[in-house]
Order: sequence, then C-alpha cells, then structure tokens
Amino acid sequence: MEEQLELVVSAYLDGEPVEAASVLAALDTEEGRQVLVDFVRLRLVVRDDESPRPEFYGRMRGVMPTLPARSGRRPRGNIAWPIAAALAASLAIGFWTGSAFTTQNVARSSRGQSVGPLKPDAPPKAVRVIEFQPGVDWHQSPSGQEIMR
Amino acid sequence: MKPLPDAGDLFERYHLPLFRYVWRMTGRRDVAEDLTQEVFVRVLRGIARYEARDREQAWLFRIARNLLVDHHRRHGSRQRADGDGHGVMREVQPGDAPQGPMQELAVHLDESLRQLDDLDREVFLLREVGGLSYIDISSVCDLTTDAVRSRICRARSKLRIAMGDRSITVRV
Repeated sequence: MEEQLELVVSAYLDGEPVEAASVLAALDTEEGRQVLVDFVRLRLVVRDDESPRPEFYGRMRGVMPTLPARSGRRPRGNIAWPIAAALAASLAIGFWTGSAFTTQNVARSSRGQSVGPLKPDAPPKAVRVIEFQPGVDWHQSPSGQEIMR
Repeated sequence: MKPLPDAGDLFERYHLPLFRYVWRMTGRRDVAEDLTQEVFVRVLRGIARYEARDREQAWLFRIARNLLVDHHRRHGSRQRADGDGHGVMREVQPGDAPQGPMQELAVHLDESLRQLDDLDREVFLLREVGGLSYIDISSVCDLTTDAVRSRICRARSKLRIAMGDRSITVRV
C-alpha cells in the first residue's frame, strides 16, 4: 500500500502521467502528504548548484570557438528561482485578496448591509434624496398606469 | 524536418546538468569537467549524423554515460573517490562550497546514495541532477519507462529512510 502511494507521489513529483484519482487518494492521507514533502526536501538536497571552474570555460572556447562569450557566467537559475517565486507569491496574494474582497462584498450586499464608502465596488452614498408623493407628484390613470407630473 | 541542433546552444542548455551528473557519478570535479568537455567534442564530431528523431537531451546523456563506462573501465578504482567503484563521494577541493550544515548534509547524502543499487542510483541521478524525463532515461539506460518509474521511486524511498530527519533541517 505504502509502496503504491510512493510510486504515485514520485511520478506526480516528476510531472509524469499519473491518474488524477490516484494522486487525490494519495494526497488525501497524512502519510501521502508526508511522502511528498520528504521527496521535495530530498530533491532540494540532491540538486546542488555547482558549476565547473572558469578554466573549463576557457578550454571549451578552444574546442567550440563559436561559444558565446557569456558562457561560464553564473547560471541564471540562482536568481531566476527567487524572482519566479516572488512573482508567483504576489500573483497568489493578489488573487486571494481580490477574491476575498469580492466574496465579502457579495455576502454583505446579499444581507442588505452597507459595504461602506471605501469599498471599490460599492455604490457612492446619496447626496440628494427626491421623494415623490402619491396624488401630488403622480396619479393613477384609468387604465391602471402610473402618470408622473 | 527538424533542423540540426546548434552545438553552442546545446552547450548552453545542457553543460551544467551534464557536469553535475558526471560529478555525482565520479565524485571528482576534474574528471567531471574533462568528461563534460569530451561530450561536446563528440557532439561536434557526430552532429552531422544526429537524427532529428533523436531526443537531444537523451543523446547527450547517452554519450556521457558511455564516457563514464569507458572511464571506469580505464581507471578502475584508482580515480574513484569512494573506493568501491560507485564514485558518488565528492572530494572537497579549495573553492568548493563552504563547510557547514549543508556540506554535512551533502556528505550524508553521498553516503546514502552509495548504498543504492548501481542502476537505481544512476536512474535517480539522471532524473534529479540531469533533469531527464522518464522516456529519456529509458532511452539512455535501455529500460522501459515502467522500470524507470519504479527504480526512481525505490531510490527515493531508500534515500528517504537513509536520510531520516536530516533533510528536515534544510532551509528553503
């Protein structure tokens, strides 16, 4: 059972085809989630960012004269990952904030509560109120229609 | 028809995963640099024979794997850092990563990797260090994708046990 669970989580982690129901069943258990976390941590330990020494790149330019001069610089991955993570985090926060506001306002509106003047999607407060009095400002016509004066 | 790959472009994209894979497999930075260089020398020689249906990443790692086999055959245990023929213990040289918890963890990982079955370790490193897909690994190692899947899982499972809670201390 645990072997099957590990097999599913392992393939899922590698982006290989896995049945969605199997992933759901695996991650629905505490054990499955722990396996996923452990595998991710293992990956972080295994994937080091070691690079060849600068002399290697000098030798390679001798072998491959067309090699771009930028070869041998620190890989962009070191900076790209934090940037990508920050971007993903800000997108997630933005999405969460947006959806939270929307949900809150819809819920309040449906309960007839005021959403306050600072909510971006709330209507502005009325500054002038016009009241119409029946029999003075409007009359009932013989056909039943209301006629404004 | 798919055009021939550009060797410079291949170098840019794959020299680091190749270097790291060979380093893990030999345990020596100088050997990893030499063999990575040799991979691209062979790429330059063989690029005209490259068939468009080939998967370029698998092609490069197959060359590296053949070079590793030759290297182990030629040098025996003389250049193997761990002395038992599996070369996953990396030598610490001047300029290498600083000592500390991560270094200690890396040493423990090397020891744990050494306990794996040869092919399990190779398949696992092709995936984790080389970044190859299961289908590419199956092509490099002449295995079925199901065999690759189960070998990677078995390696992870054993490493998970061997590492215990050590990996928990890694800061991400």
